Order: sequence, then C-alpha cells, then structure tokens
Amino acid sequence: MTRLRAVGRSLLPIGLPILLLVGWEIGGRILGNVYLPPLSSVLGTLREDWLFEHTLSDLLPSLQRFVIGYLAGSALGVVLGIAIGSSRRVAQYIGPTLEFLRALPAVAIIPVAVLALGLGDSMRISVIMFGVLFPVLVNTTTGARDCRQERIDVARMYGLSRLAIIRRVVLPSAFPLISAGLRVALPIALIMMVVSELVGGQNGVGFYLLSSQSVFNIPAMFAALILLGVLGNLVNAGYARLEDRWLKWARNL
Amino acid sequence: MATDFPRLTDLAEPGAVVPPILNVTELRKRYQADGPLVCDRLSFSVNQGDFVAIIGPSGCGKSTLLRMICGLLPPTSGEVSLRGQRIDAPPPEMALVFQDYTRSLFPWLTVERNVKFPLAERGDITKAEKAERVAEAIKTVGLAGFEDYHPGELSGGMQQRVAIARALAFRPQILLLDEPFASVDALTKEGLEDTLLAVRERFADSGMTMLLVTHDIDEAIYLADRILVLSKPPCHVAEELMVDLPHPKNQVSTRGMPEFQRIRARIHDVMGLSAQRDGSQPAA
Repeated sequence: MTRLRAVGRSLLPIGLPILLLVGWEIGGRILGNVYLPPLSSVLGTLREDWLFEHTLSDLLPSLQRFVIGYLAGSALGVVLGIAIGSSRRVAQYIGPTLEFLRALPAVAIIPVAVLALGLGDSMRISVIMFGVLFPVLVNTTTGARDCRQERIDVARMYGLSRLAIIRRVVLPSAFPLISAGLRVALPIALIMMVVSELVGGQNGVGFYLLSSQSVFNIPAMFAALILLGVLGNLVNAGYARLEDRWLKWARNL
Repeated sequence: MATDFPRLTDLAEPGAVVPPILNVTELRKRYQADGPLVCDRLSFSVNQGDFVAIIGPSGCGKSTLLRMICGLLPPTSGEVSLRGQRIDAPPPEMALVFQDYTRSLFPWLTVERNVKFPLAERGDITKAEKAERVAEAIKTVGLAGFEDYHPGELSGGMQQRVAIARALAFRPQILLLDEPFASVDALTKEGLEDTLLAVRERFADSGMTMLLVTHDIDEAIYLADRILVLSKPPCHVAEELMVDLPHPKNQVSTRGMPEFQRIRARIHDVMGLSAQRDGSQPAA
C-alpha cells in the first residue's frame, strides 16, 4: 500500500504531461478537426521533417543566429554594465538613455531594424542582441556597483591598475548576478530568434513555423512548436549545469 | 671646511640613531568640509622592526587613521611619510590585513590563489619565486594542506589566517593590521595572536615593521612593544607606553606578569575606563 503510494508520488510530476498528451491524441482523433491533428501525426511530421531534412536548412541557421546574437548581446551587456557599475560618470552619461531603451518592448524594434538593416541575418542577430542586452546589462550593473569596497581596497593596496581591479575583482564579484542575467536572457534570445524569423524570413525554425501555418500544414506547425519547446528546455538545462559548475564557490557564502 | 667632519648619518652603526621608517605628522581628517574632525593633529613615528599597537575607544577613528597611513584615504591636512617620502597612494612597501575577512578575501579563489593575489600582476617576480613565496606564507600561518580549499569552506579563524598569509606573500616592510581578530572567538584569537608573533619572529631578519590597530587592550599589550593610546574623537595620541615583556610570550604566563597588569591599569586610566568604574560608586 505504502509502496503503491510512493510510486504514485513519483509519477505525480509527469502525470499531467502524460494526461495532456494522451488527451491530445484522443481529442485529435475524435474531433477530426484539421486544426487539431492527433499527436501521432504531429510526431510523424516532426520525425520526417526534422530528422534531418530541415536540420541543416532551418535549424542550423536559427541556432547560428541564436548563438551569435546571444553571445554578442551578453558581451555588450557585461562590458556596458561593468562600465556603468564602476564609474559614476559613465552611469550619469549613458544611464538614462539605456533606462529608456530598456522600457521599450524588445520586439517593437523589429520594424526599425528591418528598415535599418534589411531582411538579412544582421537584422535578426541585432534583434536578438537587443533583447539579450538589457537583462544582462542591468544585472551586471547591480553586481559591479555592489562590489565590496574592502575587496577593491585590497587590490588597490597591492598596486593593481584600474583595469586589473575590474578584471580580477569587480567582474568575479559581480559574476553570480551576471550569471543570473545570462540565464534570464536565454529564453529571451529564443523568443527574439523566432519572432525575427517571422518577418520576411527565408529559413529558420520561425520561418518554418509561419510557412507551415500559411499552407495549412498544421501538423508541421505543431511539430515546430514541439521542437522549440525541446530546444528551450535543452538550452536552459545546459546553462543550469554550466552555472552550477562555475558558481560552486558562491554556494556556501 | 665643515665637510671634513663626518655627518651623523654616516656614522650609523648598530645602536646609532636611525630615522624612523614611518612618520605621521599633524594629521587631520574631516570627511565633509563642514563635518566634525575625526583626527586632530595626530603625530607619531614608528621605527623599523617595531611592533606598535594603536588602541583607542571604538569609533575614535582608528580605521580612518590606518586608511590614511596606507594611502587609501587622503588626509585633510598633515602628512604620512615613509622613509621621508610623502604617501599619496598605497606604497609597495605596505600590506594591510583587513578586519573583516569575509569582505576582504576573494570567495571565488582558492586559498592558494587568494594568497597569490598580491603577486598576480607583478611582472618583476618569476613564477617560481611567486610559488615559493605563496607556499612559505601559507606554511607560516599554518595552513599547509588547505591550498585548494575555498574561503567559504574554512572557519573564521582559518580565513583570517589566509588574509594574513596574503599580506605576507607581498613581503611588506610594514604590515598593517586593522582589528584583525575582532570577529573571531576568544580561543581562535589566542591562536592567531601567537601566529602573528611567530610571523614576526620569522621575518625579524628582514626588519618587518608591524602596526596593529585594535580596541582590545590585552591584545595590544600581549603583541606590541609599544602602545599608542588614542583619545576620544577627534583623536590624537593621548599616551605612549613601552611594553617590556620577556620573549617568547605565553598566553598564560605573560598575561599573569605584574608588568602586564601595570600597563593594563595605565591604559584603563588613560582611556578613562577606571574613572567610569570609580564614578559608579560614591566617593568616600
């Protein structure tokens, strides 16, 4: 009896997903509605299209934009954040401007980016960068600003230059917060990747999603959603493992 | 004609008068232009090889004084000079052990890398010598075997040992200590005090000078050869006391000596602690 209960409890977290998936399959079959194909046909399309016909033509370009945009946006966010967080003058100079841009919904800059950069990869990468920039920037600024004076004094005592102090003291001090910003920025990068591909795209997962929908290939549309869900989860889990490793020291502070 | 006579400094022999290594002259500090004075005309000097303790009531400006001495904080007026050179920025001859190790150690670095930190950017020291200095400093404070731990994995006393080792690896001529044992328990403190005496012994040949700021009277007497008692703020040197206790020191017997008690009573008098105690009882 207790054993049965233990098994039941371990099934609890996966109970709802299974229920939903089974419900999807059955519902799809019973309703016979073209807008809700049964799960099995979606999975069939997923296998046909993404193993591996569209992997090179759509998934790879998407991932490329995602990685470049994410890394470039993060790097820019860290550099600006450190500058703002460790210099009051820089903070006064560019702080208000960034504060204004931050309040802007990131997707709203897509039309502007299209006008300025056209419909190529540079537009899509820039849009991802823009989305990633602010969560990283804000966290880095806070982290750099909160760096304990004693730590900076230690470095000053031993004659470190301003740049060396930033590299050896401010940056690592801020790292737990920077890392939190990087984590928040991951799903945002994914969102910006998909949205940017919905506009005048020629390839990419977002483009596949939109074009499947426009030709009423509903199973393919759902297949793209599943693919994006899996991708998002993989990226988050991968980052969590990475963070766990490089922030081991921060755990027992 | 006068040049035929040797100058006093040319005659320097063991026992001759050598100018002090550190001079603090007429130091004044206000944090704001119209704020209160923290230090007022504070003057003293320290000879090479001395172990000087600066003691004063809490909030009297001890830490401010230390930050001015090591060049982290500019004085409002007056100056600190090291071998006659005015100090405007942290000089390479000094190292400082901060009061709060949790704030001054780098939690992301291992013990070894924390100790190596002062040398990390130094191009004038070979890799081999850096490693040697780090190993020696770690050994001196009794942390051999803990090189790969992170500060967060160590007890408070051990962390403060790391902070001391870090200062030692820099091989300072003057080691400044800002209430280094204020945040550890009594037993740990005794161990750290003896470690400090051992450090002094170890670097006696190189003439390392030590300047300890503390609010702990017994700690000052136990460790130092000379004690400067600061007044209430705005602080100045209210009294200077020489401590003549036999070496090697011992936590039990040294503290029991009449000389120890005499100095203790004197410091109490100067700091007005006895007066407060007497004042609580009506005069006979």
